This record gives sequence, C-alpha cells and structure tokens, in this order.
Amino acid sequence: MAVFPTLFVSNLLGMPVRDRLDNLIGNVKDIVVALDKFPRVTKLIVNGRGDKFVLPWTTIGVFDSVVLRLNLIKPELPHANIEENEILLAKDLLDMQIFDVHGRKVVRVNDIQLSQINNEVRMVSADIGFRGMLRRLGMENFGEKIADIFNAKIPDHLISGEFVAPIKPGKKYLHLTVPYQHLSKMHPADIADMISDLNAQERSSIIEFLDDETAADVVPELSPEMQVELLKSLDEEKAADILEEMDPDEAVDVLQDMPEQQTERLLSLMPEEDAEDLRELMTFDEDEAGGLMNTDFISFSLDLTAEKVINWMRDNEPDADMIYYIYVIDEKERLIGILSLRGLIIAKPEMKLKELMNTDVVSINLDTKQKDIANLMIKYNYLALPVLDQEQKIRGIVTLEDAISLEEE
Amino acid sequence: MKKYWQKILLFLAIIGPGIITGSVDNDAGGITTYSLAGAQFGYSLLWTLIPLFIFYIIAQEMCVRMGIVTGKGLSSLIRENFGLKITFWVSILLVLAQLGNTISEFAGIAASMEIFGVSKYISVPIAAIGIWLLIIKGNYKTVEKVFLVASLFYICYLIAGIVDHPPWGEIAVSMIKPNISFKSDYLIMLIAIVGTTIAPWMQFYVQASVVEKGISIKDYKYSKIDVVFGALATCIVVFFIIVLCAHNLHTHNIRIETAEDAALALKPLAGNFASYLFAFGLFNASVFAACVLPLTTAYYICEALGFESGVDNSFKEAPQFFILYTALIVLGALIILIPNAPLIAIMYTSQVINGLLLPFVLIFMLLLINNKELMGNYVNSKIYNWISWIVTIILNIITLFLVITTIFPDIGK
Repeated sequence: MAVFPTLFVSNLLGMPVRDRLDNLIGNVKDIVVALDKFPRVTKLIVNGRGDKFVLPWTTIGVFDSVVLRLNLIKPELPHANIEENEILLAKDLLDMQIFDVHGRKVVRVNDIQLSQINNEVRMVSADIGFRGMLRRLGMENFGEKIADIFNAKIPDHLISGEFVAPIKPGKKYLHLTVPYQHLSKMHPADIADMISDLNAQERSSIIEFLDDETAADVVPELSPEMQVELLKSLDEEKAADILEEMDPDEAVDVLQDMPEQQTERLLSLMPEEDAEDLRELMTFDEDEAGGLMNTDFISFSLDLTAEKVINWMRDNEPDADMIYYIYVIDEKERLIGILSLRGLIIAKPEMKLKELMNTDVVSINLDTKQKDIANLMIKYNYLALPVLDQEQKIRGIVTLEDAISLEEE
Repeated sequence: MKKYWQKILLFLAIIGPGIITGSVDNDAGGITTYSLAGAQFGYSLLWTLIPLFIFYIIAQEMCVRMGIVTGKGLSSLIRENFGLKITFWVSILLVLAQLGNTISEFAGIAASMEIFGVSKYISVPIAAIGIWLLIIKGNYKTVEKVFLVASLFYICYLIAGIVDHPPWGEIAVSMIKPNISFKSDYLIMLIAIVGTTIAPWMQFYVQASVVEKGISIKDYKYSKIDVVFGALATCIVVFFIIVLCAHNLHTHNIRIETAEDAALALKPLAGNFASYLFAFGLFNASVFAACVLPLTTAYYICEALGFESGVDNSFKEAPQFFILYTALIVLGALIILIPNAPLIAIMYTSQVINGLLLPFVLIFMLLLINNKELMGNYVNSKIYNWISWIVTIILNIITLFLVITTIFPDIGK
C-alpha cells in the first residue's frame, strides 16, 4: 500500500496512471468509495485511449503527487466491478448538492478531501467553501495573493465526511449512508427547511426514506403547495400512512387542497375510523373551531384516580399536544371538569379526578371563529381549549398554535 | 363536457412559465429593436417571424422538458455535468449580460416616463426602489401572478396596431413572400431581431419556472402548449410593433434611434392615443423585465455555485444572493442616471456578451437533453435532434455575425 498524503479529488482527477514498467495506462477519471461513516476509497476508474479500467485501489504502488504508479503491468490489470454500496466521487458527489447534516443546509460540493487512516484511504471531508472553488478554478494561488494584499485569509469550509449526505433519488443509497441517521434525528422543522431547497423528486425520496412518524412531523412544516405536490408524488400507500400519523387538522388542510378523487383514494387506504374523522373535519370551515380542531385528545371518567391516569399515559404515550389538560367527563361523556397536567402530577395518587378537577371550564363550540378562540385563550391563559358539540360532548381540542398560526396568514 | 372543462382548468394551472418568458422577452431592448426594424425596413423583415417562431419553440421546449424530467434548473445541470470551471465562466457572462439587460430596462423606464413628462431622475429611482421592495418584502408567487396579468398589457401594441389601419394585404404578402435584401444593414437588423428574441437567459428562466412549479411529466403536453402560446404571444407583439412603425414611420421616411423616438414620432402620424399606448407598453415591459431579470439571475448563479438563495432567507443566511440581486438593480439604475453615460456602448457590449453566451448555452442544452442517464426515454428523437442541431448551428452563425458586426460596425460597408 502506497503512502498516501492528504489531498483533494480535484488534484487526483486527470492525473496520469502508469504501470510498473512506466507504460502510460491512462488518466484518473473517477474514484470509487464504499459508503460508510467516512467512505472508504476502494477503486480507481482510469480512462485510457479507448479503454476504461476499473482498478482496485490496492493495485496502486507508488503515489508521488504527479503520477500514480501501479504495482502491476498492463496485461495483468484486473477488472473490478462497482458494487451496490459504492458511489463515484466525481460523478455522484463532486459538484452535486448534499445535505450538510451538521450545518443543516443544502450545499454544493466544490471539492473532496481524501486522507489515509490506518492503511485505508477515506473521504474525510467535503469542501464547500470559497477556497475549494478557487482550487477547482486553478486560482488558489492567485486568490491567496489577492487576499494577502488585503491582509485577509481565505477561509476553509470543510464539512466532515460523517455529515456529508449525498442527495440521490432512490432509497438504495440513503439507507447505507451514515449521515442519514443523523438526518432523521434532526428537528422536523430543520429537515423541512433543508428539503424545501431540493427539487420535487429529491424531496419525495427523502420523505420516503424517513419513517412515517418523522415524515408526519416534517410535512406540515413545508409550504402548503409543497405539501400537496409531495403527497401527490408519493406512493399512495405511503402518503396515506403519513397522513394517518399527521395531526388531523393538518392532514385536513392538505387534503382539502388536493384533487377530490385523490383525496378519496387516500382516505380509502386509511383505517375506517381515522378516515371518518378526517371526512367529518373536512366539512368544517378552515377558520372555525371545527376546522381548526384536533380530534386526538384524551378524556377520563370522573371516578378514576390520579395514579391510574398517569399510568395510562405511561402506557399509551400520548402526543404532547394532547396532554396540556386532562378533560374529565361524566357517564354520558359530557365535559364536566378540567385538570392541568401540573395539577395531576402534584395530586396524591389515590385522589379521584372529581375531587381534583376545576369545574369552571372554558370551552368553545364547533362554529366559534378562530379570532374569538385566540382571544379566549389569551384572556384565560389557556394553551388549548376543548370544542363541544350541542350535547356538551368533546369533539376535539384547538391548541394555541392552531388558533394563532392561521391568523397570521 | 365536464372532461373538457377539467382539461382547461388543468391547463390554466400549468401555464405561466412559457407565457411569462415570452412576455419578458419583449422587453425594452426588444421593443427598441423591433421599432427600428419597422421604421428602417418597413414590412420587409416581417417574414423572419415565421422561422423565429419555430426556433423559439424548439429552444424553449427542450428546456421545459429538461426541467420536468430532471427537476433541476439549467444552471444546476450545467454545474453537475460540466463542472465548476465551465459553470463559473458561464455565470460571469450571464451576470454581465443580465446587467446589460437590466440597464436597458431602466433606460426603457426612463424613456417611457419622459414621454408622459416625468423626469428620469424621478422615475428611475422610484422604480428601482419599488422593484427591490416588491421582491424583498412581497411574495414572489403574488408578484408572478401580477406579471401574468401584466402580460395582458402587451395588448397595447395590438390595439395600437389595429386602430392604425395598416395595409393588411401588403403585410400578408410580405409575411409569406420574403423580400430578402443582402445589404449589410438589412442583415445586421435581421441578426439583431434574432439575437434579441432568442436570448440565453430565457432558457434558464423557463426551465427554472417549470422546476419551481413542480410540473410532472404527465402534464408535459400542457407545458408544450404553454411554450407555443408564449412564442405566439411574443411573435404577435413583435409583428404589431414592426407593422406600426413600418406603416407610420417607414412610409414617411422618418429615421429613429430609440423606442422613445418611435413613440414620439407616432404622435403626429397615428395620434396621441397610439403614441401613449406605445409608451405605456414600453413602460410596462421595462418594469416587468426589470423585476424578473435581476431576481432570476441571482437565483441561477447561487444555485449553480452552491450559495443559499431565495428571498425567504435573511441577508445573513444568503449574503451572495442579496448582494447579487441588489447590485444588479442598483447598478442598472445608477448607470441610467449618470449624465452622458455611454449608453450606446454599454448596450453594444451587452449584446456582444449575450451573443457570446448563446452558442454555449444552446450546445450545453443539446448535450444535456441527449444524455440518457439524465433524460431516460425523454432524450430528443432522431429527427428532432437533427432539426435542433441545425437550428442551433444557424443561431450560432447568426450570433457570431451579431458579435462581429457589433464590434466592427463598418464591416461590409
């Protein structure tokens, strides 16, 4: 294995490759890496006169910064194949857009840095900065001279190989790439921000990669047009799964903007109960409680103890939106009291809800206007309000976020 | 019947990119060229509109197809397939060309408002600030809708042309029976018409808009219609400008140098109404293009070079984008306000740069659209490829002549 200094792909591309007897084989066309945390260089693609060679990296004997010398002679050269988990640095990564998972941005790769780590050459970083750009243009020295005049330094902008996530439509690559595991751990709003910079095809391939729950958190953060376009372009099964995981009020917002036939098809792919809820929500106006509300909420019967309620929550892991308040209902499912999460936690375990609850409940009706809802919330300092029908049954809750976000538009 | 309506609705949702491109294409520079052509050569250049219409459609259709299939803008595709070096030089040329175009838009604003008695020292700064704010503070989607409506104002030229009662018989004959002259100034004008109608930026613009709209391949046929409509709208406007100037100015042997001259010269001959319509059309076209060109240029360049772009970002997040966008508007407006600025020289230079850029852009387009890996089954068919290569070669020869005649105006005299 040749001693290999740290260097850039731009230096390597086009470099002459000679065999052991100094015969010219061709010039470096591309570099193959196996996807890994720091992708490992495995092969070299060499363009000869009329021939194309795919050579294992181990055939390189000597590297002396102007020429690559192989430890074989031309007739002995093996032919390697490019494997499923491999990508070509020049073709698939250089000049392409990537996710900078660490910087949470979509950037373009100006150059790629390779370095030897324990006998293996790996891609250690992607250069996305101005210096990389100058190097590619063959103006690095010129740039430095100019910078010297102003007593400035050209900044390096390298992102570590472990945060470089190639954007490529198709699932195959995504699952193999370590940075994508970072990606799915990011905040949904950040993921949405990043994929907003991509084109429609790339966007849907990233969403397909994410699990349904994460995707359901990301989709509502996109612009309304993008949401519709995305759900149209996804596989219908997947789209239905994501919609099912989304908050009903947000799912309804998208569905209402989609063509009617497609909405019906998506609804038919969902569990009957969820689909019914959504169908009902869709009949309400977007600026009334019925259209704003979330049908995911929890209510408890008045005879339950605080301990039982807390245990139920541990077992069922309800969403954050759902447990701002504990709603207490009587045997006819009518709302009779409310208890804050704080009230529940500090209560003695054996106390019953009916002893803990506050019976002075602020509630709204299905047709309460969003403006009035927001005002009520501000006046009484609530994070969510229950929506009651004529029989005093809870139909859903409107959160402060829902009441205010629509008002801004 | 219901199906029929659905199709129309679908079409309306998809149109836009092609028509807006066509409208922006008839900008201040275009209107000037067409006015001069009509005034100087009468109806004898009208025949060029037919081949121009076809060339225009072929070039635009390829970009629309690339945008739909790859989901990427032209500048991105150039960067990803031809590397940074080429992208960098194309970007430099594009920025310079667009600066030249922006200057001519502000010149158009100044000229048209002067016809209404407003000094350029008032109209140009107000327009520049207004445009800058509209895009930065407004919503581009809304702005685009405004533009689509603004395209309707091109009907000004149509009305002005029709109320003028030109000799339709004579015009019809000169449309189909080319009266080609081989005199050098005739050829130069012909080249200028082609050069101003088929410009490099349009290819970038239409592809970016198609990508932005996220049009899918099943709606490709509607996008094709959109392109044809855009080409048709452009050519009709060109037709009426040439006819109006030919009928009124050429027949009276009035020589003009600018579009402003044209509007003023029309006054005694075609009446106040035609003159004001002409001036208003020029104003509308100039503002429209001055909004679109700097913004979209900043987008393509940032996209290709990997800088953050978009007006939704803050200055700190996307400094290159905002600097480029602002600089194009500020420089474009300032140069108009400098007394005795060498405007003619600037216009010529911008024409040369456009001319230098077009061959590269067209050849890149052809290489990209025939790349199976990118386009799959949507590469050019064999016949289409022949036609588009021939068109490209003709256009390249014409622009080469344009560059030569601009640099050496005395050639052939």
